[in-house]
Amino acid sequence: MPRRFVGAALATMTALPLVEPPAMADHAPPSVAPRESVRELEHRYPGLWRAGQLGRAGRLPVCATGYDALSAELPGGGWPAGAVTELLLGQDGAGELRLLMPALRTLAADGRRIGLVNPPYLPNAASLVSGGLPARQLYWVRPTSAATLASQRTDMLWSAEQMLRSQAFGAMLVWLANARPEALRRLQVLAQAGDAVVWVLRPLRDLRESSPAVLRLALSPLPGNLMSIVFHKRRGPVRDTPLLLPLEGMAHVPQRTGAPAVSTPVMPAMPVSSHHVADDVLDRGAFAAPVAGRAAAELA
Amino acid sequence: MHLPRLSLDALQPNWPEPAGMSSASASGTLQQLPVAVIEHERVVLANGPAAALGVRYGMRRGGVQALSADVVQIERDAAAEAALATSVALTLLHFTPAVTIDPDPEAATVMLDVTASLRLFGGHRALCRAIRARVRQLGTFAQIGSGTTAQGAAWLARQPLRKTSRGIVRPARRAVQAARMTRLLDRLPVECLRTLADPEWLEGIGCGTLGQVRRLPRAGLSRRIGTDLLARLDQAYGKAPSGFAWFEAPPTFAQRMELPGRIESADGVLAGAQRLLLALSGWLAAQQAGVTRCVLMLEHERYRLGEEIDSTAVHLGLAQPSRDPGHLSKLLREKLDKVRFHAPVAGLALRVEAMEICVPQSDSLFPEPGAEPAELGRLIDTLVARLGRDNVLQPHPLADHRPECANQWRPVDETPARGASAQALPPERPLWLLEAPLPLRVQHHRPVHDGPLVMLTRPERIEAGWWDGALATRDYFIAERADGLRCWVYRERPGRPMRDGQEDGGEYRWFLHGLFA
Repeated sequence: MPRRFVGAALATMTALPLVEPPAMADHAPPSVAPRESVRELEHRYPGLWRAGQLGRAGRLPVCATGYDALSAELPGGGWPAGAVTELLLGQDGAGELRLLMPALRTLAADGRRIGLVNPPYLPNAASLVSGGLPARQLYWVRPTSAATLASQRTDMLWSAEQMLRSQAFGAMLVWLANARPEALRRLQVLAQAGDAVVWVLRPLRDLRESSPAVLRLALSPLPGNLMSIVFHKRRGPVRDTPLLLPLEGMAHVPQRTGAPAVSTPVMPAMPVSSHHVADDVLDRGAFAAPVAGRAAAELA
Repeated sequence: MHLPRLSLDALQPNWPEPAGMSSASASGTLQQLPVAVIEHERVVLANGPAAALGVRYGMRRGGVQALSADVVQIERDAAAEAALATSVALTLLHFTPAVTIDPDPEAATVMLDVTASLRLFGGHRALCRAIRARVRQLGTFAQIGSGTTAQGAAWLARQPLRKTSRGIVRPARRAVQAARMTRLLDRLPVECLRTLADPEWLEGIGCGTLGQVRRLPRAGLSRRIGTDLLARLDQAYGKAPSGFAWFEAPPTFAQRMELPGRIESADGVLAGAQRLLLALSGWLAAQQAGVTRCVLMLEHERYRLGEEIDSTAVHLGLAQPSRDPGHLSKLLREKLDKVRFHAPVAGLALRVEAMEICVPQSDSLFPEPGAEPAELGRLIDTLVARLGRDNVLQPHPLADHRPECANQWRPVDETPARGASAQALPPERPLWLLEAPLPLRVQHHRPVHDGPLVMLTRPERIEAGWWDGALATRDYFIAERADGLRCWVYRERPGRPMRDGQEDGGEYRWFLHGLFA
């Protein structure tokens, strides 16, 4: 299936509330005639989408997220299969596994295998298994502890490549720190050859590097079992406000007494300065910040 | 199949050069030099550059010396030739169980009965290509002739390239129909009967080709030169049955080979080991088995620097039996990359330690994506070869109250212990556990982990492990930080001695043990 980026060119035709690049505005065609041809293009290339709308459901191979609010914001209505999704974490343990658990469970129920490559902590076998992932389908690959950091990194990239190439895995979670964009591009190309759902988890500071991933989300935890998801890149319109998603599990854990209902952003927690904004309109940095909790002094 | 360069290649393997290898590194070997192999003071084989200088079969040593002083003269080594021929025969067991080596060492011919293999390997031409490629990887060249009879095919295979005025002409060496076979054989020169009769005598009585010999009266011919020639001719033309002593694979596989030089790199060893792996693959095919454990010994030069150096063993273990030489060589590469060569390698020996019955998988009409277990097995082997067995793991959760004991991950090839599943789990457990609990500071009677933590739950008391010396007396809490990070912390109850023997002073000590990722 051809996947194309037509972001800027189509953005001008469909009159979007986007910042139009001035160079493109000069030769914008009359607005009536192209409608037909655009529709025809869309018909011919299922991978084509208008910059103003999300990639269409049913056309893209996706894996259900298990969260309706999140699915509604993702092109195709789920995690993209056969592509790399990048999850950027301010810190590990932000709830990233609980976010992915419903999807992993779905894949595991289909008999697909799940690979964890180089997780930052010990995965807890008992809770993964009791969470619905069969032990026989779960694989944990970690680097040799004796090796140097650099060779550990190459080992892990190599392992991820081998696992993708074998197409024996339905889902892969790869933790990469300080990975170069070429490494990610290799993973993306390999992922395209198969139908695995590949999540690459990187630190938030890697946001300023360009990425070949089709979906880039920044995740950060919020008080009250919520997660804030910022869409940095997706095949669809720019969304500046973060999505606040109640995570599954921990339902009977009581909320903090007196925790305010999270509705209004209080203060920016992530200092993302404007020069991080990539020139591509579809791959822009965060303007709005996730909601921060109360100040530390309040809690002491 | 005839090996025209056997006696040369046995001494100086001529591996196909890797694409990246420059000619500079190859010039150190004998490939560009004129070489003649000599037995009993006479040349038995000369390579291309030497032949261009005028070195011919049967020439004396002095004659070669007179032609050019540059020609490298090597003594023929019958044992090395036999070893290479055995390797070839073993390798070709991959294609058919009916392999035989021509008992005459001068012939340098291996014969295969491929009647039953043609369809499996995709037809006559594809089979020839596959055989030629395998033999090429062994470090020698093959001339392949095919025909309806073994003797006839062997004679066809032995026909050399002819130089004519129009250039080099490859003689016709293939016959599938009996009629064409007869036509081709009739045209062969009597030179190929060299071992049975004197070709010059035959030419003297007016026979230049096999066809003319065949038309001679049989009774007179057998009276003059014996019945051998006629019997062999009849076998070649398919008029008399021929019996072969089929090559039998040895019951155990242990082969060794000398390397042509002193090698100190993984690439060099791998190129040499290729020959052993191919032979292994053929041998395994004959056994209908796949290897699960084998050892490659890197034999070092003996008595180097006055001390004897033990050979280095490279162990190769596979989760699933395999006989695919490509896969084995990939695994071996990962292993060899880790070997530190403390001394140059002079020889290689490959020994099979364990094997299992392995039936190749049938091709399915609609292959399922990513579901082939063989593919997974190959992947696991590759990962284990590079990362080690302890770094490719699967969960085997144990029923234990202490989270660090319950969280068991075991190497992939281990089978789970029975009844060790943790089904009835306490409700809330984090997905991440810390390798070792992280001590937390306490401020205003609250533990601090980059910010004060607020307890969300009441304590869950875990007190276990008095029986195995790892006593845990802990109260676990789910705590939340101001930014929403949910941690799993515990406090160790006061009153028990710390690890360094001091009393803890009656204070609760807090630890971070997990994160609700």
